[in-house]
Amino acid sequence: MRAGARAVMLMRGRMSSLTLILWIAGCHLAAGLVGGGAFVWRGLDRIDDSAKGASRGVRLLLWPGAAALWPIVLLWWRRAQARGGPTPARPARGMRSLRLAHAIAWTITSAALAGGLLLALDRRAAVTEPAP
Amino acid sequence: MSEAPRGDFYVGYLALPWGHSRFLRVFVPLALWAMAALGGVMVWSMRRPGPAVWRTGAVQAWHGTVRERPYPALELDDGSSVLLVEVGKRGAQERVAGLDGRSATVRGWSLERDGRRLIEVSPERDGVEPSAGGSRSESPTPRALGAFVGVGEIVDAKCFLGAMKPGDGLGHRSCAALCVEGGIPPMLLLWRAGEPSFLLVLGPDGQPIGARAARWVGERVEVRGEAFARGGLIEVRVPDGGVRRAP
Amino acid sequence: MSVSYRMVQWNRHKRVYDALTALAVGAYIAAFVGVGLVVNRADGGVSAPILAMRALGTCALVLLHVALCIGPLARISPLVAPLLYNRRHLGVTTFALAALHAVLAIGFYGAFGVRFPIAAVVDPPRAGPAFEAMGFGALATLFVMAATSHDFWLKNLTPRVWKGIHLCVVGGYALAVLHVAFGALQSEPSRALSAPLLAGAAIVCGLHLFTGWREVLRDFRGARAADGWIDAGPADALPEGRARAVAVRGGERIALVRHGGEVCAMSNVCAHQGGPLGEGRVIDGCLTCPWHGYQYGPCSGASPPPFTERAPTHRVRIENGRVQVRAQEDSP
Repeated sequence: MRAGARAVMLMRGRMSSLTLILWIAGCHLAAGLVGGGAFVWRGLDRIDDSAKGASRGVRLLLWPGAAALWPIVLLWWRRAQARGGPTPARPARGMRSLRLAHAIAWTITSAALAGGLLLALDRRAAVTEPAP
Repeated sequence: MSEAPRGDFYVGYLALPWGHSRFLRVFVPLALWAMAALGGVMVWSMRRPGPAVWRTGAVQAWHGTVRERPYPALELDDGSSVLLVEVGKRGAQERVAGLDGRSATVRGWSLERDGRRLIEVSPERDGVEPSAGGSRSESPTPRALGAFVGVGEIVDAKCFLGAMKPGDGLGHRSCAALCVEGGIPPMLLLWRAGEPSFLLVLGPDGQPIGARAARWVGERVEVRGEAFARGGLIEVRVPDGGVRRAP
Repeated sequence: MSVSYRMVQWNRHKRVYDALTALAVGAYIAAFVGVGLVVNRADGGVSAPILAMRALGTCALVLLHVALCIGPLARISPLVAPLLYNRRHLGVTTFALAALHAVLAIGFYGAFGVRFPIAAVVDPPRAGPAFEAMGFGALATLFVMAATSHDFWLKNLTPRVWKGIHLCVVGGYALAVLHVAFGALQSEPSRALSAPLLAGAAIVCGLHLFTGWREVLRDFRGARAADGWIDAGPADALPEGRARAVAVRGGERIALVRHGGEVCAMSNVCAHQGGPLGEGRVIDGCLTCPWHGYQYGPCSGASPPPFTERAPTHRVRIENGRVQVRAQEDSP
């Protein structure tokens, strides 16, 4: 852990935070291609009855998502192995809180967007060069 | 399917209800035309890139005196200077190393805009070919023109003179910064009456300003410094803190 | 879905939808490139990759606006329902266009230099806002949404988490708009470019704020349970074959449905995407969700075989001509 933290510190010394984020995202996806790939080709059938014998096309289609969410899908896989079968389906819930989250998210975003757009237009006001 | 009890209720896998069908008959053609119109209006409203030309095609040759500093250039017989760059986003510093003041033939492709020219040196071995036994000539002394203040945009010379169209503007910033970091000369672009003029941007002592200028490319900036004339090029020597966002 | 997964569950409407989407994208890009070539032909024009980059980027932004307007518009008018039906493919198309835009930017602006191309484009040395990184953030959001758009993810993440992930589009949208506002727009003086961006943001935000808060208010004003029963209005107000959503104070909405003269109740939440069953209709003897047509037995809450979805049911009684629904779900 300490070695990992030191490696991050060392890298941070040489690169900006944005580049570091890019590297982390790249490493996450690279790990995901392997972990998510294993899940899509081997684990899929164990966690979901509807996925039993899924075609190659379906597996390919699911691979990018599995690569992005690999820690989650590997957890599903492990749980299914521990339970000895797929997760039983549950009725959907939580739409009420989602509606509230939706309204709040759009309120915050609208405010941020309005501020950002005003700022951008203010910066742009200085653009006066005529087109050649 | 049972149309009657559904009335105006849409289900994706059943036949389209009459109300929806009527709505879509109007909406879909309208949306398609609107998309086409929007695409046309967008591109029509965008800035025109200007008259830069990149003469890719047959390799041309120029003869003159090589200058290593501040940026690789070829001083032609008529006294004018043409900047030299490599293929890609790299300056020609390594190619002309040790050749300062030597007469040479440069082969490559020219990029031109509004009377300013730049040569992209051919990657072949004979891209820069020093003349045999030639003597070295001294670099001309820059002539001081006095204090300079100007508002414009710092561009990388190669893209703006024709490698990319447009080769200026904030959208092109990452490319311009990469070019300048790679050794392509940064130039201050000033617009007067619709005509661009180009000033080579240098450090305080006339040395290449390099990556320090990269963070300002694409932005509208005010540049303060000392102006010099050398070989048909105007240089601005910019002290630390001499570039800021234009007010 | 309780039957086997397929790559795409095609049907006629989806095919027509996708064909029209492709036509709309084609019309936009053809007009953009065509007019672009004509207006600039005197000077040799905009570099081809830059013209393509702009066509793809602006087209993605237009589609994102369209996709984001469909949801709230469908809450205002049921006529928009056919546009909602296959919105997923619109979203995936948006991602594909944005990704091509990014590939061109990285391949043209970021390549042939002294830095790693992706880092050179996303994180250039700069004195102003990092608009390139905003675009990258927007693209990453669209990627996660497109990559998890299959029903497999919907079922296994649960509709709630899946919807939550897809709510991230709000942030992705803001980043995409700001990417343009702090980037390309800074060097483009024309009002014909800034005005549509501002109008688009105003329309998208306005629609979502209006419909979003209206729904939340409906939830907050929901009926309160007395002795575990909720008053759901007069019994004769619900016509045969129709359904109605009853908002419950502090709880999930309940769908009331009348079928064969009997009034039944089940959770308002469709097991597929959480669609509002109370806004559905009885078709072929099943309450049918208005979003994607998932069906449930009106009084059993169970999907007809071979499907296995289930919506929890609630007990119903008629007291003095008024419908009363038990707040508590029936145990399965």
